[in-house]
Amino acid sequence: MIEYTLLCIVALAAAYLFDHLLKTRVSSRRTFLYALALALLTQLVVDNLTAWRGFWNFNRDMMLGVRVPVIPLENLLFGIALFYSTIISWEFSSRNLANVFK
Amino acid sequence: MSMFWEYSLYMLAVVFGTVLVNLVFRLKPLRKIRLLISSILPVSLIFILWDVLAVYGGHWSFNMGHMLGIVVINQPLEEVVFFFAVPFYYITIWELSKKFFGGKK
Repeated sequence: MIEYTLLCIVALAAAYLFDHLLKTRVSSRRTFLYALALALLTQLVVDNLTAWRGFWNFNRDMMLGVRVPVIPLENLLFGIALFYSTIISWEFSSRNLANVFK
Repeated sequence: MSMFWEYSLYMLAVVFGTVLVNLVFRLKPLRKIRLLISSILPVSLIFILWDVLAVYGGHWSFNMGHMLGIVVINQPLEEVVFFFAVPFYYITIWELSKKFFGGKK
């Protein structure tokens, strides 16, 4: 079963849902794409470096098997989900909790 | 050859570089440190939980030869630090891109 792949899709869908429920709507802003591009570029460099150095052992039965070029495609989706969730949380906090956390 | 310091070195580099970018461009994240921590924390906990379950479920495992050897549940300490350091980096580049390309929209 490609469980890792499915979890990534669920995480991305959940983030998209929260982006609208919390009315942050960060993904429709152009700056989102610029920052995401930079995040992915960094991840491609660092993740592939650490994977090449042998930090991780990936279970190929749990994922599609597409490598970019060393790391699984799912790692990039994981990174996008982490990026998206973080930015939603930051924007939500900035707008709604700014007075709580001075 | 033992490279147990390798992962922690990468994490130190991420934190150091991110703090530097914040200082150079006078960005909001480092100036609003409590807001920063409060927004990172819930996301970190969810993704650490994902990582813990993924290791239990056998999706991936760690090669401890590159890590300090301090384990929290089933996570190397560096991996836990990752889920705080990287969101800090993400928020910083988000604020940076708002500053240079953003405006209101």
